[in-house]
Amino acid sequence: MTRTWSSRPSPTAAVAVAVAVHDAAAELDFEALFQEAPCGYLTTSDEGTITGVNDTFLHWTGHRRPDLLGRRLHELMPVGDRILYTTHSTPQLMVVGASTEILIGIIGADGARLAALLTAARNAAGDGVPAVVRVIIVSAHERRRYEQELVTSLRRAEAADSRRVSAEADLAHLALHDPLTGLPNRARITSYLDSALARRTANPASVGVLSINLDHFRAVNDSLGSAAGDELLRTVADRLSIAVRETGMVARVSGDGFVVVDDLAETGRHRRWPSGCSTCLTIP
Amino acid sequence: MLDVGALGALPVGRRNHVTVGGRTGGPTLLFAHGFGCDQGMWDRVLPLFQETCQTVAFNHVGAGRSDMAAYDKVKYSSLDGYAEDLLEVCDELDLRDVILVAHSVSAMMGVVAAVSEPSRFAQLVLVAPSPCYIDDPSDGYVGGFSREDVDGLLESLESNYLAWATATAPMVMGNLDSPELGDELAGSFCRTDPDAARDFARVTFLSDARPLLDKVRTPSLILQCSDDLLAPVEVGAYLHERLAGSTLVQLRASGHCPHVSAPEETAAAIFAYLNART
Repeated sequence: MTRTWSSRPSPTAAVAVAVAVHDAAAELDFEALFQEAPCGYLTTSDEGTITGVNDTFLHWTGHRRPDLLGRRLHELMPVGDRILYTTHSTPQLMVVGASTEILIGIIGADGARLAALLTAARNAAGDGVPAVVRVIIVSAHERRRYEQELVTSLRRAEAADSRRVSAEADLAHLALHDPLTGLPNRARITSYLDSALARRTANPASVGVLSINLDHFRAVNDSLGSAAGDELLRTVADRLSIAVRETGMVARVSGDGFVVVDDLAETGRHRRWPSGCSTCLTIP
Repeated sequence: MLDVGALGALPVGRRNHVTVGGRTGGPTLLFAHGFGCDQGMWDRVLPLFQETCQTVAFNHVGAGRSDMAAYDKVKYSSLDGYAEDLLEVCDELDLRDVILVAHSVSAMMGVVAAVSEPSRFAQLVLVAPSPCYIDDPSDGYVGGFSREDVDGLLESLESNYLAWATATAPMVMGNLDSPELGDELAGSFCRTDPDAARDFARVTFLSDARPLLDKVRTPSLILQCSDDLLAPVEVGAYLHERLAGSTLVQLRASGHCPHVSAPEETAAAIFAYLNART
């Protein structure tokens, strides 16, 4: 028996050698390799009907050969994997000729789910020979666990990222706003005023600034309690916000101090404006 | 044939990786792929139509070579978002009297689109359609799956996170006469963004389009496969009963993708239907 090996035997070279060797011993070797390979081998039709299965697969799943021949391969999978195999892998096999490294479950004879890695390749029909799909199935208990851990970590990272983004947004809001009334604080109104004045140099318009201090606010706090004081501040904040609308900004800059900044370009508006703001506060 | 590159310059053309082929001026067939793959699924039937018809195919956003930057979790959480895209494809290419050929979940997107813009469509060809995959014990509807089954699918998708993201290299074995795979398929076939696939699975398997069926005025052809795991024969009969002006054809092709496994039979059924109507 002569064998010629290339310096780096590839699987293709091994197959070529196998074809060249015709002695019965070699055939037995390959029969044994098929039956006892360390993975499940199956062949199916395009419809998935099982036409051949090796001993390893039978041993691993507990199924008997006669029970598997003629059954559809996807019937051995849990429903979720069955849908995946039918909608994703089958068309892949039909069009591209292969579907690789799909993680599925195989339901054993005792009903237990075995984690498996499936790779399949299809030989198209030709010259009266029907198409055949060759499937290898490897036990993938550990791999499934790793992949699940990876995906869980990915989901956790996504959740942590979205928490971080929202925490940063909260922090940014907190730095520029008064927590009691929700109004912009001194820092926010200062930068707003700066940019309003900068705009004014480019486009002459009046910027109005109104400083409001509540008279006798201390007395409200002392006589009715700080809760009533807080309530008063929130009411003032709401009313000023409504009076100013979108054109300007109201800020709480100290205990009982508010500042209103608004664009007064509209003729005559500067005359009505301060009284408008104070009127909104005098309504009971 | 319109240049694919030219379509890439159009916003919707690029977003949905729209491809156009066939005879300009012929009747327009618009192909919408189903869950699990992309427009490469139509590769075997397209040539059968291209001599006489203009064919337009596209990918849903998230599938194949669509523009993932356009992926919007909220928009694509219902059939409506996808139906909107389908109508935008028609609008951008100014397609009229469209014969929509829609597979699997896209069939119900077609139903949504035909209800919202009936004047756009001449006929609907629904390939292996189902208005609702989950059984409804309240009225005895058989969809074929339970809610637990669908949860199992979502789990299966999660386990195959990497498999969805990886393109399967073409591997045509044995038969050297097989047609060469087009560029569209080489390397990208069925590659789907795994997060988009998960959302798409929810839309596909948790949507219930049954209330829309009696609002459809467009004539339709229902292609029912034999032994289809996803659309049992009861579902085809249910649709036929509720879609006014529908024709039900039972195919010999088994499985869920007759356009892949039996392209000639599928195309012949569509031609027979269209010829009978003209």
